[in-house]
Amino acid sequence: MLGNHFLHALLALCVALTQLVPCLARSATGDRALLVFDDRVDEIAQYSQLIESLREQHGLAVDTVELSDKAARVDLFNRDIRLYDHLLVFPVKGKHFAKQLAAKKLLRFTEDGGNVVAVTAPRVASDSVHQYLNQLGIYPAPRTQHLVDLVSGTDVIAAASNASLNAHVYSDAALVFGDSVSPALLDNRPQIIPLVQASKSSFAVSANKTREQSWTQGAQGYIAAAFQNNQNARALWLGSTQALSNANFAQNAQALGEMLKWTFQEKAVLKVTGVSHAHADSGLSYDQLPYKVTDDVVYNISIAQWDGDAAQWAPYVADDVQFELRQIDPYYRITMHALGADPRDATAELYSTGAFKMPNRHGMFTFATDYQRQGVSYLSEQDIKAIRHLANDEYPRSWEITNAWVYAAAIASVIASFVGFVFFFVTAPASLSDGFTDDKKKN
Amino acid sequence: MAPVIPKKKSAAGKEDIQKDFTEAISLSLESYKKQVRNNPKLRLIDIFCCILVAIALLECSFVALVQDNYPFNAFLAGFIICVGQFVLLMCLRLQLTNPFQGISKNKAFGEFVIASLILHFTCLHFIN
Repeated sequence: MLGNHFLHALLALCVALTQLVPCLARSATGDRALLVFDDRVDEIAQYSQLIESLREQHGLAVDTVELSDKAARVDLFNRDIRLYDHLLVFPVKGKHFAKQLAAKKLLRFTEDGGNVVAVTAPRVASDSVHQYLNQLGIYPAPRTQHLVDLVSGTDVIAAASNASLNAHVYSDAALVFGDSVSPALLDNRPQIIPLVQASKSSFAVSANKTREQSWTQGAQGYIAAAFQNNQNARALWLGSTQALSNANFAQNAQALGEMLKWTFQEKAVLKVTGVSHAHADSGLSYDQLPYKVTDDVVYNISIAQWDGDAAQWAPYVADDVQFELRQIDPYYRITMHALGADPRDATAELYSTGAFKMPNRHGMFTFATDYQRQGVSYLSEQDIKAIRHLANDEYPRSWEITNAWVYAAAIASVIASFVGFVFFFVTAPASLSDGFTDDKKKN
Repeated sequence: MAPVIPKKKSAAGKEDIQKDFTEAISLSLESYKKQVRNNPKLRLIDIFCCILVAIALLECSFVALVQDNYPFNAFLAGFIICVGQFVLLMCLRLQLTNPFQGISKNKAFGEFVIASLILHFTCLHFIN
């Protein structure tokens, strides 16, 4: 008994200690990262600044695996438990790599919520990485094909500071990709977020002087793209290793830092902290007083956004959060107003539809917020409630409806005429035998 | 020659039909006047019927005027009471002019009153 108490106290102390230690990780999901590279392609020393920034600025615990050594093993999972939150894959060659880091493994890692940075280069064919990217809908050029831009007058491919295609991922920063860039074609699925487009005057050429067809021509090619799957796991693809090397790191630090922050879930991560709906007039919730048709209802939702720099949640302010009331078809689609910080939870922004009238139709209705924007986490909140019809004593009576007065007057006049008719009929002097029957006899 | 004769015949037939028609109308009007001349009860029934038709027409024109049948149950109640009362009056009239076997005229009148009261009761409930 005493021992049990002691264990409990120890456990409580441990929990308290872990809460006291300030959270150093900037990512909303975790700080375990694995970097996979191959010394035969590039010396890791070339990326020392990148790795340092991963450790210092992004607060990641980075493990590295060098795959030219055949004894090296890459374990992303221990049985079914994911060992890393983030994975960076540099171009790696050889069959050993294909076995250790098969496309299936990478996909499973993404599907399980892991974030992936995949870098491809024209010199190396990393088959499994290409297969993995193809599964996402990103089709990098085959080996030997690299991007050239004959009009620009230089071999170096670069992106201007306004080249970003998605401000949630990165913005207002220039990028230098170097002279060895592998462009990619992108699928048009909504999970893919194009980041940097190849210039109009660029195209892919093969270094082998063969008559191989050009993989991309002009602006159909992309140099960088991001991907966010339906579970909000993220992936980043870069078509150039030189963009990450020490030679260009100082120039690229800002844009790359933003891209990596996005990929490692350090920004543009949203969560719903609270959903509520209630009667607009009385403030009673559905549980206290179920809604009936034509009731006035107000719907609120609180949305918070992860602020990686401050390592805390902050209100997310936007003007395009929409509410939908559905019964198979949407009956309402209301753009909600941001009302400022939620009074119950200051780290979230409160959105409200304002009062709206339930449609004059009973049945199961879905109160839904489906916020799916490229570059931020997808939010999907649904609440299904039964809306009842009016009870038989809740309809307005005839005297409350002015139109019904006409019909009521008609009924009253019919009844009054009937009473008069009966009175005159009974008091009518003539006997019934007069008239018709007499004529008949005469005829 | 043959087709001429039917033509002539048909022209004559048209005139004949018109003649027959006016004759029939005047005859029926006359017989109707004769029927109600000495019978104030029948006249009373007919007046009541006219009132009912007028009320029903008023209600219909009101619906057409506001272009909305919103308290539809109220409209139905108001219209059906007119129709129902009209039918009951016709039944009474038939029995007065041509009594059914075994049912006296007074009994027919009593049945008419009871049926009417039930009709009024139903309509008053239906409007609310």
